[in-house]
Amino acid sequence: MKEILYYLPLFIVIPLGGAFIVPLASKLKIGSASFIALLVTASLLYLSIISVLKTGLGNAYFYNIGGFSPPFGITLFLDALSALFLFIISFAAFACGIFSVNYMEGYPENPKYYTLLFLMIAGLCGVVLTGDFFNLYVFIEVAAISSYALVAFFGEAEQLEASFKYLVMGSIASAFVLLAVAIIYACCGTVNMAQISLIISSTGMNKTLWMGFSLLIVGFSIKAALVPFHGWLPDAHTSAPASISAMLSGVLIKSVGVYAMIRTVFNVFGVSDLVLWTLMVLGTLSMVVGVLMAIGQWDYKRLLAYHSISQIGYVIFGLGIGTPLGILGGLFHLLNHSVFKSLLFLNSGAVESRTGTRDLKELGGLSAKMPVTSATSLIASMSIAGIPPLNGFWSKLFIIIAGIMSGHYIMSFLAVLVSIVTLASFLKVEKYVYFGRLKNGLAGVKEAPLLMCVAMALLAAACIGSGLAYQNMIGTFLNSAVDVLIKGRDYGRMILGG
Amino acid sequence: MGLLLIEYSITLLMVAIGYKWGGRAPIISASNPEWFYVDPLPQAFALISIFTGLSILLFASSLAVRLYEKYGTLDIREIRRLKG
Repeated sequence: MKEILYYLPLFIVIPLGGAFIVPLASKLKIGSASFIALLVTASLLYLSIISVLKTGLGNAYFYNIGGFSPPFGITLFLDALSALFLFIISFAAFACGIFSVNYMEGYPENPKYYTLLFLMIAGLCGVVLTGDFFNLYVFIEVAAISSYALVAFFGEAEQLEASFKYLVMGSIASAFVLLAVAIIYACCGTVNMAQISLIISSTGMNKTLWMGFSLLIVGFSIKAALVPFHGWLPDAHTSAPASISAMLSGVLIKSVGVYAMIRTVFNVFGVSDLVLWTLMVLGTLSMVVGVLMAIGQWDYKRLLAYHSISQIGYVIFGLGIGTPLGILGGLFHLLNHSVFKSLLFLNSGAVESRTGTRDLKELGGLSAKMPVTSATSLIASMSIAGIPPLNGFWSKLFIIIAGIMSGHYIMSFLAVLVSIVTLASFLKVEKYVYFGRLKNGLAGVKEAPLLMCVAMALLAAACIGSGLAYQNMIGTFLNSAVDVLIKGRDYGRMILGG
Repeated sequence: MGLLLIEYSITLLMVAIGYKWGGRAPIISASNPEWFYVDPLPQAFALISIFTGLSILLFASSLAVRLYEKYGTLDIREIRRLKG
């Protein structure tokens, strides 16, 4: 089933238009940048919910840019997997939009901040919608360059340093992807993903294609910050403004890294044992190393950043198991991680903007002073550690059960162990920041402003909601996204053959 | 600079993939449909990758200027306040 859907380009056009309008409006002093941001992110959220509902039954939609049909033109393609990611992007962007209203208030450069944020969102939406490899590369670059600039946004020494490191790693990753695109083009004579997958199903893989494929995997692993390639992530996520850390960790590494990787692995090149083992080993390594690095940290945001590595490890491990349950667990964990990790980063931003420090040793006893921040952070911490009624529990449970069912006992055991260490390190955060004795100099701390609290409460509600109603979540859109991946190379036939 | 070299080498590879000896500009002519022409797509790719390379270069050099202002050096052995 496929049909043309005319609003698909809007996902890219709206944020790009927003990026254009914001500086114009601020020059002419019409409206405020934050109001435009709310408008843009809310409309994206609305569109993405429609797309989730439309694709829930396994339908797929496409749009040919400029009216050229697939072999010649550029195609945008929406199926359940893209819709899931669009929903994640726009939900996190909406929460960040609400949070930024107060967070960036009084900062003179704030139109520039919103411009960069919109460019990043446009790039991310493009990555998950595009139907060809070269476009994928272009949108990755759009998202990446604006995120380099956002990491350095406040212009302090550490932020510049982090941004430079991120820029070097990011450009090397993009160079890998570009080289892979060139090699694949040389082999197949096309960059359209659907056509490539058809060609590979008919002729099979040769050595040159394997080369291109492995270059792609390396490039996307750097973007997803899997463990041997993770050096840039803790610095970049620690130094960025809190709302941007939430976007980077909640969305960017997922759509640019994980989405691009699973689309390539499952739908274009097809799965094999070798590839699945690579994913599982990378995932387990990230899981274990990330959490071990995290538990020793005393910087609030750096601790969270290492946990991102560890949780992305879970996602990749789940996907690498390759059984429907494992993929389901992986995708569900990805959705959950974007919710609770955004929430944790927003919490840390609220704490930092009220107290002026991120050092866990200097904080303490904030639960009485900042009740909303403290309550939402407790929910998010329990969720990431996998305490039963919350969403993180179900997705980790699925992943671990899938691991045991397919006989990967050692890796599943490690996954359980990592979950316990995660719990320990979040108990540390809760104890040092929110509970315990109030430290000197923190007596005057007030609760975060209203809109920050609204954003945090929204995400916390999503944590609880998707935990309690996990069966509905799976029924409505996760199952059809899993189907997309299970069908593998039928993807090409579906797009081109109709 | 190293990044730029990587970019340019890939660009060259792409143009090389598309090039055919004796090819002409890729304009399909109605009178002579059998004209042999160069594959235009890699050239378009190369153009775009040069643009992205340029924007990355610009951003990186402006970052380097700011880093020099803050640290007083461009020696990467001394720019290492972030650890852990």
